[in-house]
Amino acid sequence: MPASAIASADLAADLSALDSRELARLEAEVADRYMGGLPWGSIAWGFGNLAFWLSLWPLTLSGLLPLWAAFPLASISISLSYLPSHEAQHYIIARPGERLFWLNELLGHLSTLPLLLPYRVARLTHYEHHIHTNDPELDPDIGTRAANGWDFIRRSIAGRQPGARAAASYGATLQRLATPEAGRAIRDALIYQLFFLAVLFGMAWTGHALEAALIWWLPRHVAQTYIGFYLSWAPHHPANEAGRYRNTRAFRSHLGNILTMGMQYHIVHHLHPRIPLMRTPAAYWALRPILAARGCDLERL
Amino acid sequence: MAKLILTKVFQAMPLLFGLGFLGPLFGEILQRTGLPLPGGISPLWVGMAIGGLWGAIALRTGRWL
Repeated sequence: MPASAIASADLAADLSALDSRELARLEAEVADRYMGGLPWGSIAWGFGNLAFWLSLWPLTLSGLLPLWAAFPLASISISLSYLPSHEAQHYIIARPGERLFWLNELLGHLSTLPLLLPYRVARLTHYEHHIHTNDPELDPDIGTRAANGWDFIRRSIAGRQPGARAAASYGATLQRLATPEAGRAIRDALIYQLFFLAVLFGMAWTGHALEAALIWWLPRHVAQTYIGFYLSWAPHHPANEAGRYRNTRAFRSHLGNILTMGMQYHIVHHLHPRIPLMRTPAAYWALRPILAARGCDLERL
Repeated sequence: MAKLILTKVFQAMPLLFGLGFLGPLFGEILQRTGLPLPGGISPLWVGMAIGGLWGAIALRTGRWL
């Protein structure tokens, strides 16, 4: 049976008769159907979420919003700040040279401001993560490897201590790359850190330490843990294999697709990074028979 | 020169963070709780003592927690 015929066949198609090359062709054909177009949802999400987080400052400082309410809202907002940039990192909005490339870059730079993750740092280290997924020495995200969810949270907190190796993994990756772009990324990280400290210190010494703590400092820690858990630990667990079809898994979470930020289907992203986030669930179900034939870890999903 | 200064600043960051941010933060928390402090000492001073000490320990041990 030709691969193109199976591509439009039932999801439960038996692919056992296909060899590796035919499976690869079929996978590419199916994945291609989910690429392209402008992901307006992610664009609106990125800019809207930043505007929402910024609005928490005047609302809280003016007394319109109580601090106890600002803290969870800021935690949710900062947790949501990474993924729009992630779309931009993979040039999903527009590629270099295309008409809307400026929008891609603007979204990439702006959406992760609350998370204090410079776009260049995010892009370069994320590409290294894709190239070296689960490599103990070269994957910048290997520090999220943990025996279980609780172990991840413990390690995540330990990894943010001043002397922790995990805290320096992105910097180490950029230094290893040693390219002009990596140099610019290190400079960006330095500027972000100094700006963050200037804001925290400035607010603290003008009588607004609690606002700074509950809108930015603590919510950012919450977000780092949440993002690390669902974007890094859960989809790569147990993170001890490096093959294309074994370095990432599909998983089912009690929290569902939205609260896990679509990461149950993260395996689709690793196989086809230019599929927009919001199409990964549909792409997963279309690709599932092929992934099963490839021996992917699809757990109960 | 700038690189050297920045390196020194970031090396001392736990202590600077303790004094620059945690101290005033603890001071504000103490003030809001209204806890009576001995000898009429200012909440900011108590906060600075806690933040500074914690920062110094973090600087020495490499761990906040």
